[in-house]
Amino acid sequence: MKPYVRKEVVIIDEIRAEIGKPLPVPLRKCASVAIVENLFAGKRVEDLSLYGEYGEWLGRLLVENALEALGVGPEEIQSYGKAVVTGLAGEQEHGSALLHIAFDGPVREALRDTLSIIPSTEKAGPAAARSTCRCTASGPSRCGPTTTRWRSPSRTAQGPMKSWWCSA
Amino acid sequence: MATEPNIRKLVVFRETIRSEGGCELEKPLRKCAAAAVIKNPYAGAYQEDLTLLMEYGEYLGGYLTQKAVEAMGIDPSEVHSFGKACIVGLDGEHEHAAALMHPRLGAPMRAYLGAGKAVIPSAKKIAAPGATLDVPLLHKDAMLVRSHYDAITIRIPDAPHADEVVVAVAFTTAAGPTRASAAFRRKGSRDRMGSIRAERA
Repeated sequence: MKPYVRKEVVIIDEIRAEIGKPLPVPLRKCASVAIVENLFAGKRVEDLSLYGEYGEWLGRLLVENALEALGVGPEEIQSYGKAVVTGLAGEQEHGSALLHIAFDGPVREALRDTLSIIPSTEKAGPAAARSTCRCTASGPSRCGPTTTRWRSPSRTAQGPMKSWWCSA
Repeated sequence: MATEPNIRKLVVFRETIRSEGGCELEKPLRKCAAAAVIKNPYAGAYQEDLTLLMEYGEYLGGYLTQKAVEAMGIDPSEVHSFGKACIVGLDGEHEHAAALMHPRLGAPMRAYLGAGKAVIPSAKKIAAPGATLDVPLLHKDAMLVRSHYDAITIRIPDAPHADEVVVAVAFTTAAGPTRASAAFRRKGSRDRMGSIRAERA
């Protein structure tokens, strides 16, 4: 099952220097975002299993979009994270259902050798809410935690929900 | 002469819009902005001669256009509209943005696209890191194509520092989403606001 997707966004942040010191290799961080309809907005729904199926589909879509936008293969991904902002007519739990039931499977499948947990953040918020994504090393390589921040300005205030995936 | 500035970071924002107001677009609309964060050589001191910023602009016009068009995954001939904008860090002046954008940034953008008879709309502001900026968009060949009056919002959480400038260019692959879904299915040379259609530009 796939959700109704209004819009997909990717943001690539290529960092070449820090405090005047050039990096030997530019660090690229990418956030891949989808804005999807929240069918449960304004309603109390006990069974959120549909969002498990949506989450599985989104995990695959968002990884594909991120890898395509970065122009890299899965072996070059070093860290990852995921986050969700639920529009104000919905519950934070709706976002949680997208991220935590079946989202990770296709992510791990696409990236192959992943070991660590995919860290997440969740919140409910209005249009243009900002979200920070925590990222941890996806495999055994030693790379420190980092974050990517994003916001999407044009959401209607209630209803839509964002789900996204990030790699660095 | 184009001069390559020191780029601290390069940020690409790409939107793929699939529907608007519940109407699926026949073809997804892509909007993309590419932004470079560069050092402002004249931050904190008045400088009469801004030639260096003009040379940076000439370099960035071509470089950022290439980055944005590549990120959209299209041929340059498929670009419909364009725009440019700057955020100057707090120790700089409005005029620094003007020098980057107005004298020389446009020509390499047009050269890369192989088109661009219309003015490239612009916006500039002085602001702190994390400021949002709406990069204006207009049809590349005719200002009166209202279906393409649009903008894309960008924001870089850690830029510009007080001694930096964010320089951005933006492009689309079609009209704004509402017009793409509704007006463009109608026949005739004018859209529902009475302005000329892109194919007549």
